[in-house]
Amino acid sequence: MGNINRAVCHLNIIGFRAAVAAQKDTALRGRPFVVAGATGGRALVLDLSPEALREGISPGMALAVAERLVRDLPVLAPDPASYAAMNRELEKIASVYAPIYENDQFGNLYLDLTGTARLFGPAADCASRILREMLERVGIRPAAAVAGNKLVGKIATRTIRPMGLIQIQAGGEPDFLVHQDLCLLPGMGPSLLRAAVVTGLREIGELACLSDGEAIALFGKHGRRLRDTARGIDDSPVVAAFLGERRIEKHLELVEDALDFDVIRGGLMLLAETGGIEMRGQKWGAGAVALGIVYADGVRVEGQEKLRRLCVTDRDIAGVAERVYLKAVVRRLRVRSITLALGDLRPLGWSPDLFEIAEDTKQRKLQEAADKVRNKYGLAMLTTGTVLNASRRGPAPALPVGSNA
Amino acid sequence: MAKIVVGTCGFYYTDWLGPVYPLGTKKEDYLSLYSERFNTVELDYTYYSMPKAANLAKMLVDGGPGLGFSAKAHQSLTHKIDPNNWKAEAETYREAIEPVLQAGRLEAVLFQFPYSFHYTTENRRYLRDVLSCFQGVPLAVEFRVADWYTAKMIEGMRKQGAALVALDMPDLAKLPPAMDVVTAPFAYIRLHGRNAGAWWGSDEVARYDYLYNERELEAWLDRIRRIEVQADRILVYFNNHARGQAVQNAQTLLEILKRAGLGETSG
Repeated sequence: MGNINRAVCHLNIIGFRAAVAAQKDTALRGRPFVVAGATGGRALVLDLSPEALREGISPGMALAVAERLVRDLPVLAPDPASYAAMNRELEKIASVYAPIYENDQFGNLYLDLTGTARLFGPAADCASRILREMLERVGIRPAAAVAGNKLVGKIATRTIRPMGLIQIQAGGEPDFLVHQDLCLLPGMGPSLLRAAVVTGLREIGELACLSDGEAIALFGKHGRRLRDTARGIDDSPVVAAFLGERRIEKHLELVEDALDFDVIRGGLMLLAETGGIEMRGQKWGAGAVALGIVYADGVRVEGQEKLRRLCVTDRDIAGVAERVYLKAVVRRLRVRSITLALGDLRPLGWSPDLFEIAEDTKQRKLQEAADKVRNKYGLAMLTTGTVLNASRRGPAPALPVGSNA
Repeated sequence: MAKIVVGTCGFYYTDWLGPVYPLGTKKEDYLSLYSERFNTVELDYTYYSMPKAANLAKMLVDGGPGLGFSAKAHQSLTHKIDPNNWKAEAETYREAIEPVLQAGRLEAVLFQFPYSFHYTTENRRYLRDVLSCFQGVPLAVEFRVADWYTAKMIEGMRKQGAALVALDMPDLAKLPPAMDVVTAPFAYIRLHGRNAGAWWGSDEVARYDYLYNERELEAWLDRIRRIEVQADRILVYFNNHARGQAVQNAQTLLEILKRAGLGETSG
């Protein structure tokens, strides 16, 4: 439930990428169009205009299917530079009113308005002013909610979307949540919804009523957390961090200069393990992986890869790091040290099926288990074969040291 | 630009003699005096007694050509619903408002449901049925309890083309959330005052006994500005009628809107 003293404003720009496109190109306004990109070899709809939604197109749909639904459908490529520029503008407005705000870069901003009433009036009035400024200055119309925590704010903006303003009074959360559709609950993706429907649960209030035992019986070990979410319980703070400022760096000094790629691979995995566990501990995922590599002669080279999808597990991070390494290292010379930087860190947020991720479930479960052991007994207690193999080929690489910029 | 009209909920209060109408004003002159100040009025007598077409036709004349009317739905359609008879009551009401509708001066019919009207399957079905009896009539719906404010209901209002009333009322649990979501070509705003202490367990006069200060009304400017982008017409009614406070606040809001050069305000 929301803390009675807290006032969190959630701004939700539905179809952020499409909204930015329509703001840039007025000819798109009022027309069905989509933003699409290739994922795994297949072109998918990443975002769409409200008019396209009304035509039956939905995010994640194959582009070919969308094009069959709407003849001559305008298809736009993602435009990261414009999204970043829009985010900067939105942050400028937010920073005037909120001492602390959080931006996931895809149209979700959380503003902590706690204690700002004397400066800007009641939180709902302040939110109203922010919305007006966003409309007048950048032509963007978010849905906004003022609530006692981020979770209830998010459900509220989903309730009123695509635009508008709502304020959930402190103590009014149960009445507001009770009859909302379960699909509005963050973390309820397709597989959990299927499980809920089978058991006859359709509204958030029905899930909120479950006892601990019932919740676990129906939804497994995450049942209680899911049930608490349905009760609007969320103590997570608004994290004060801004675009590009989140970064985790780990540095590895090889005991002996190395050329053998198996040794390098082990080092990269070790860096991924140490950076990854720290990153996941803060419930972040990486949108970019960068390497700084120093050759034996002291020359430094760098490389970076930006990712469409947040990189979370050690295996994913190490995989990207290997690609970056192979692109960056062009000289046939031994390597002395490697620095891994996990950048563009963003909150993992509430992905679909947060509590029981269907996709990559096996990998994620394995990662969770490994993190649990490492957090309890120390990082060196558990490592991968890649690292062990590297240590067999030469002196074991020293545990990396970290520095967070 | 949306046209914004501001008025009050009701105009026929004896305690307005003095603060609003000159002492000694005859009751039959109230409406014409009211129309000198405002371009719209929300009729509340239509809630207490079933309106008659002849009376409403006379009010069209008394109010002058510039006055628009919203009318509160009769209590038999909102508070005292007889499952066997409500359709007949709806038909009677529909016929009574015909002169105002024909004259093009009906702003909306307001269905204000009581606190006891909860989000149940039966009530949802009733709401759908009663609204469908008023095809061709601009409709606005006000709930007094928070459990109605669901995504499904908002979607239903959009499909029906009925306005979900934006409310200003005390910040109390169980009461509806403050919410501006445009679900119809027009927006309907009701300001009930913020008298939290008297909201529960008092009479109707005490509940709405509140005078907004200028800062509170200025905050509405931002809200109206945003609503204006989505609606063709914005109706704003003050219900804090005790001692003419509604009139005072409505006039102040009109001045604020005019100062801001907002839309085609009138009043």
